[in-house]
Amino acid sequence: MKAFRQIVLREWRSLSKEAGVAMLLLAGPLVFALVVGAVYSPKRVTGLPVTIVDQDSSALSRDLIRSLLATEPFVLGYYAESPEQFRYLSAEGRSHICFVFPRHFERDIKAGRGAKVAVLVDASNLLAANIAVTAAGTVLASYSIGAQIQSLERRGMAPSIAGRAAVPVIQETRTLFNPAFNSNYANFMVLGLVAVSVQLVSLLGPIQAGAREFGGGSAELQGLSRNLFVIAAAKSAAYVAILWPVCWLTMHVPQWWLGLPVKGSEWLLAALTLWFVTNMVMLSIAISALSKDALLASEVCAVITMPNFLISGFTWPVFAMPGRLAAAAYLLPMNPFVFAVRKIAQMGAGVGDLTPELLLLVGWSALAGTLALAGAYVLRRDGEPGKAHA
Amino acid sequence: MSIWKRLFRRELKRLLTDRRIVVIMLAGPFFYAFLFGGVYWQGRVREIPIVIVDQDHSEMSRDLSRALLASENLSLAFFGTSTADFFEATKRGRAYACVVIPKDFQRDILRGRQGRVAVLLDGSNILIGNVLTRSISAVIAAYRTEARAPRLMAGGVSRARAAASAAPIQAVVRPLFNPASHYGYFILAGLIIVALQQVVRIGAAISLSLDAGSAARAELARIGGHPMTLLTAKVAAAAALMLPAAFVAIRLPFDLFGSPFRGNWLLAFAILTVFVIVQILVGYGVSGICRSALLSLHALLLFSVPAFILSGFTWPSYAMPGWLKTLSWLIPLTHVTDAFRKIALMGAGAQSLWPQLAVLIAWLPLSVFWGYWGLKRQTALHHAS
Repeated sequence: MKAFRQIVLREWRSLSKEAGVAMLLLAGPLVFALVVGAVYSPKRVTGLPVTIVDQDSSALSRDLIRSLLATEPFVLGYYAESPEQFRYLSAEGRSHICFVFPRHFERDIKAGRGAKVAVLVDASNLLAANIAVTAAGTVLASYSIGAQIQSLERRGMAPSIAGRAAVPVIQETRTLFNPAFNSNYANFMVLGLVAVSVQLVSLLGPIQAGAREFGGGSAELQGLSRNLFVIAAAKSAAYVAILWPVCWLTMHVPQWWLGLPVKGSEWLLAALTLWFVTNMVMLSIAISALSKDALLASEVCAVITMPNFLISGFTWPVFAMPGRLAAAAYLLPMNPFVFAVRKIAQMGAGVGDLTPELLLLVGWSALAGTLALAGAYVLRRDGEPGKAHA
Repeated sequence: MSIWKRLFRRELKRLLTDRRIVVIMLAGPFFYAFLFGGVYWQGRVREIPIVIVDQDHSEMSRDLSRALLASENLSLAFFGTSTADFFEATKRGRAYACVVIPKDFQRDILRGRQGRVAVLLDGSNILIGNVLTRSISAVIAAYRTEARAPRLMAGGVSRARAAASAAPIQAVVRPLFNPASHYGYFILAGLIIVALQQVVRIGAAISLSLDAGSAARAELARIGGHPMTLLTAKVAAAAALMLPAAFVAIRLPFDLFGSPFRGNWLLAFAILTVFVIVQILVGYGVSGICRSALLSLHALLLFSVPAFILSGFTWPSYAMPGWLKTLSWLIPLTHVTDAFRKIALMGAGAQSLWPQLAVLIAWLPLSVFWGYWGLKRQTALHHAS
């Protein structure tokens, strides 16, 4: 136990001498969470500029235009003469959706012939396009139903019967886990992005823990303990003790600032963060000791981390990836963590709902632990009298 | 041989013989281009598993189930007996939506009452949720029209008239620039540009940090020359190495993964050239601030994701709060990703891109100043010797 404590204290002393790296790693995740949180803080895409091409200029088309512009994501951008103008406006980023009301729009509807509203969408940004199309579809569908009911009433049908006849099948949609759904991207994205910074800082924080021992330090380390388990555990504990509170705090910035809900157990979330941070710290110490070079080890960590979020399945689902990549995505260290976090925070999941994620975390613990022991072995061998540099 | 040529050759040799930099600057862009291309290869989320709870077991409910499962975007996870089955399945990631067709669905419709269909959606992934909402709503809307039209026809109305009456206002949605709503077309080029930014900055920062060693400083002092000569030689050497890799990497999604490119490649390459040069200089500037290769690498890694989010490539800049909108507008990544998307998907020319080009060109003197400061700080070169 004494050796364990001495190694922990020694590790902290070394870290305090690398003030720049330590400051960056402590403040970096919080700045990360604040910037990402600020970007998504409006939670909704609003102010989408709309182009209107009203070739009918009738009371009905004007009424429908008013309904569209009263819908939350839309603001009036331009009135245009033809749809061709919209192409230029969208290429210049001045408008993202265009509604074209053809000539005789009102006349055709009143004559019972039906009319078409052309909706041109700038789909180069799918996210904005999805929001625009959903909002436009909702307004046009409800307006269409209103027009049907009026038409049936004109034929002498009682209002209550006309309502039922116009909509024979009602769709009642209930969105679970993210009630504001399409309009709330903060709930969807922020926690996952913050998890990226948790992984990054847990990998980069201890990146010198192994490499700095070569050239003399390993002999001193061996003087404290020759037990591989004690060396690996003490070194890991020194970093986990610092990184876990930072990561826990970082995970809670979006909750406190943006009011993002954590429906599940806070304790479970904290325990899971601790587990993930420990896995990453052990992995980092192993990479650092095995590569013997902190810069090279950092580059290895960068390769692990950079694409991790995109192929973790957090945004683009794993089942939509090609076979081999899907398997690789499941095996990434961040995958079980982000999914468990999402399940706990958004779905209110308990331990029983997290079986696949927990199994993957156990697998990663076994792997990272074994590698950390291998790293400790390399350090011990380097510190042996014949090989010591000091 | 002029001093500039000696410095250029020295830098090129150092870059090509340092395995670390070669891997970062040359292999990095290809690795990310292939990886991201592979992820988004399919382009659309299809066959999303759903649960159907058919409590009516009627001809009409079976028809509706068949119509739902005929959609290419939906697939059957299982037929459930109640919504509890779905709640269980969704937490395990086995299903993302549940359609409940209640008892007496058919009877109600045939009697002129409204049949209700409940749709439960897992909204935790908006991307999947969006596809589900659109697909399920489209099937039910079509079914609604089908259910209404025969009744009108029975009343002596013609088929065309019945169809028009059932849906008096039709929205004909035409997505421009990305008609198939292919996710890969939307995101791939932007991701590769982000990866390029990252590898160029990291490579440049590490290479300058290596010049901060006493041996390198002594060698530079021996060669002599003004710090600006050294800066231009270093940038030229790094650009000579990096630009061909950047051009090939950015073309990969278009040539290999089939993304459409409607604009002019020369314009795209010209923009990429300015961007890469700016990023090399920014890498030197970051190295000057951090002083060590390790700290530079950590700083660049930590701020890469916020920079991507800030660029407005996915979450649009106009939906950000005011001060972040300004910040987003100031960073070069915003303008390069935006320009690339417009050139590739919209076929935009230089005249449509002047705001992006103006910001990018304004970054050139800024980054030269920053890079020059970083180089002087790292190499301790102050005057011509």
